[in-house]
Amino acid sequence: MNSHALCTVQETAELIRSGKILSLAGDESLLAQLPRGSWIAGTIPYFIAEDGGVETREKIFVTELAQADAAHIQIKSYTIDTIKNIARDAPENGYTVLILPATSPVHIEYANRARDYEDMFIKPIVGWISGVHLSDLGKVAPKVANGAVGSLLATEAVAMHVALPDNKMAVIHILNLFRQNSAGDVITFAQTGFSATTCRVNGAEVVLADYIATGKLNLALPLVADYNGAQINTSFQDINEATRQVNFYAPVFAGIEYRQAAAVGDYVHEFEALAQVAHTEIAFSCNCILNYLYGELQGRKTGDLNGPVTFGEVAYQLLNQTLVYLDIQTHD
Amino acid sequence: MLDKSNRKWRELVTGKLAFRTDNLGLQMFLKQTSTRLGGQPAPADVEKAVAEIYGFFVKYERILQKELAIISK
Repeated sequence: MNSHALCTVQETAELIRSGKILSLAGDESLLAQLPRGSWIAGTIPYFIAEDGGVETREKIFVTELAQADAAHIQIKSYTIDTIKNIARDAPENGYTVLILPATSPVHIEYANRARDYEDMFIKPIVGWISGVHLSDLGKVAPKVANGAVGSLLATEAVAMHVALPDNKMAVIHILNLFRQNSAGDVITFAQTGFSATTCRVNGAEVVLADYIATGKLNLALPLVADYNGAQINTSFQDINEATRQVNFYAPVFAGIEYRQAAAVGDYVHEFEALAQVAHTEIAFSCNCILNYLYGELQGRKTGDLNGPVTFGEVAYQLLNQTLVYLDIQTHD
Repeated sequence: MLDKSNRKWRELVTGKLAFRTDNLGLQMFLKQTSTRLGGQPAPADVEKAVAEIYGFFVKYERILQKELAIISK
C-alpha cells in the first residue's frame, strides 16, 4: 500500500492491528469505528489523494509515518494548560505530528503563543487544524482522536512524538504560492490576535475594514510577512460589518511587518507548478482548504504531496494557505 | 563553527546581520528572536538569544553548512 492513501475503515483497522504507526484524517463516524493502537487523527472530509483533490466521508486518509516504530513513539493529548510543553516533550532527534481542533481554546492558545514555547523551533513540529465539512460549519465541532486510548476530543490537541536514529533528520518545508507585494503598503498591528479593528498602514493608524474597502483589497490574497526569506501568510476570514472587526484564520502578531500578497496570475496552474518540487522521503504532508477552494484542487493533483486538506497548517507555528511537508533526510 | 563569543552571533540574533536562509526552522527562529528582542535589547536577553541560536546551529550543523559559511565571512 502507498504510505499516503485513502483507505476504507476495514483497511485502516487492519493497518492499526498490524502495528503500523499512523496519522489519520477522516469523518468522525469513521474514526469512531477504529480499534485502539498507535495512531492519531483529526476530522476532515477533504483530501489530496493519489488521484487528486477529493471530498469523501466514506474513506480515511492514512499516512503511515516514516521511520516510526512502536518503541520510539509517544502519543499524548494536550489541554490548553499543557500544550506549552509540546516541544519540550518532543524527542531530541525526531519530529512531532500535532493535530488541533479548529476554533477550540487549545487551537487559539497554540496559534497565539506557540512561538514562545520552550524548545520551539529547535524541534520539528508539523501538523494541522482539524475541521468539518463546509456545510457543517458552526453545527458540528471539529475533533481529534488519540488512538492509544480511543477517545475523540473537541477541546484537546493530540500529538505523536517520533524519535529518529542519529543518522536521520526531520526537516520541515513549506510551499507557498504567495509573495509579499514589494510595492504594497506596510501593515502593522498593535496587538497579537485573530482579529483587528485598527492597524497602522505605512505608520498611520487606520480602520482596517475601511482600508480594505477603499483599496478594494482582494481578500483571497493573504497578508504576508517575511521571516528571513520565508513568506508566512495570515489569511483573511471575514469582516464583521457591524463592528468593523476584521477576522483572520491565524493571528497577526504585534511587531511583525505585513504586506498583502501580490496577485497570483493563475492560482491553479501556479500551484501545480509549485508542487513539483524536489524532496526525498515524505513523512507527512497537508494542504490548506483555502488552496483547495481557490486553487480548485478537487480532481487535481499536487505532485506526490498527498494528505488532508486542513483548516490551518502547523509548521512549528500555525500557518495559512500553505502546503506543509516533512522530509526525512539520511546523513550517514 | 565560530566561537559562541564571536560578535557575529549577536548581530545575527538582533537582526543587524542581513541573513537569508531556506531552512524554515532557522527562518522562524531568527524572526521570533529579533522581534522579541526589539530595538534596545538588554545585554542579558541578547546573550540568552545567542545561546539559543548557537545551540540550534550545533544541533543542525550537518544541514547548515551554507549558512555557517555566510556567518563566518
